[in-house]
Amino acid sequence: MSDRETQWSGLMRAASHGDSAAYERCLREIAHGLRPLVRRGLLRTGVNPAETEDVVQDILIAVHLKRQTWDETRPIGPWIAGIARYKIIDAARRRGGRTDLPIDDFADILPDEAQPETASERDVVRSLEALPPGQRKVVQAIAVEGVSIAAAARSLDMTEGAVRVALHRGLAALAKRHRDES
Amino acid sequence: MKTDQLIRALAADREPAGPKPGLALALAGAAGFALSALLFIWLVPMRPHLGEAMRTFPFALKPVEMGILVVASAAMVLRLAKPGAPVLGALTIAALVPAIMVAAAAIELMLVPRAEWLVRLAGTHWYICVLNMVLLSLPILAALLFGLRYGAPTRPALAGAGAGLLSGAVAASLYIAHCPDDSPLFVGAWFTLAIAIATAIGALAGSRLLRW
Repeated sequence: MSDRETQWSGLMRAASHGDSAAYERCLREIAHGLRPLVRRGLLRTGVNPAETEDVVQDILIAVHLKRQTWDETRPIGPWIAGIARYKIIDAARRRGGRTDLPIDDFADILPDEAQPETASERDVVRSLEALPPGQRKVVQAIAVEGVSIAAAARSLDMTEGAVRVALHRGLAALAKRHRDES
Repeated sequence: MKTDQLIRALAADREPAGPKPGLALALAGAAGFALSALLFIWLVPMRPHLGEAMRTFPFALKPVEMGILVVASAAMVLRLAKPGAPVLGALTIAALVPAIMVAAAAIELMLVPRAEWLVRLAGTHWYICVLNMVLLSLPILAALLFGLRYGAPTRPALAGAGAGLLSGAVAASLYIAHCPDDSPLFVGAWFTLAIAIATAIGALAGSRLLRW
């Protein structure tokens, strides 16, 4: 079993027991590990690799919203690879690229692969414009300004429960964004 | 929103994740099955002398074949709902069923005179059989597709096809209680056709409804 498998599944298990620091770290590690893979997948399907970060974000949202489909007794690598492959093909389909990505390309998801990232790639900005104003303000406050749920509730004059719901719905709406376009 | 910021928001979202795909599929499947069973009771009469027929060999093949198919396709659907779960094992077990059907039909062809073949194949009313089985599969298929939306099927058409296969096999299992024809030729042709139609409907619906 590779180091990364042990690390990711350990973090994800901790996360499912309520450790949000472990969860945040897990998502960062996954983003870091997937970036070169997504770039390669996009090149192979004929999509502009400048879309890499956008697809990485799609995958992260999917990992989050579908985390209950990972069976904790099974390795996490194939689960993440399955989601990544699906989202890359989805991106290719929408942009008229090839959709016959061979599955073997993802067999090597786990070996560590160091590749320098350029700052501009990571600065890709996902627009929150399409969200309804209530959700947009909450996502903006928590994601961009980095305030806590409690602080967001105070500054937006909402209850904490309402902030939680708006955050969850806003993130789910970001995942739906593409489906409504296509 | 940058990726780091997105991650911060995802980690802050502590709303509970949805139900496990297994639970969602089981609940939806049970509801669909109840609907199909009601439809069956309303639509078609039970076969007379069902208890006696059960003790004959050609009859007994039907529940065995459909039982294997139900279990194998249920395992397949559950796996197709989760990214990265292997489906080949379940598919191999499901493939046993056409093999048994072909063998049984071959034996029947050897035992029965040629003049009888077409009569056996046509049965009492093969087209009504096919139509009813497809009809009975639809509530289960719809329920399973709904349940699959709680999963993350990375191959939507295949997941839909698996749901169609399972719904067809369950519908055919129900229909056994009515169907007066036990000939392996009949079962091999018309049960297969009905289940294939349900599978095709599932694949078509899956490729449209199961994207996420």
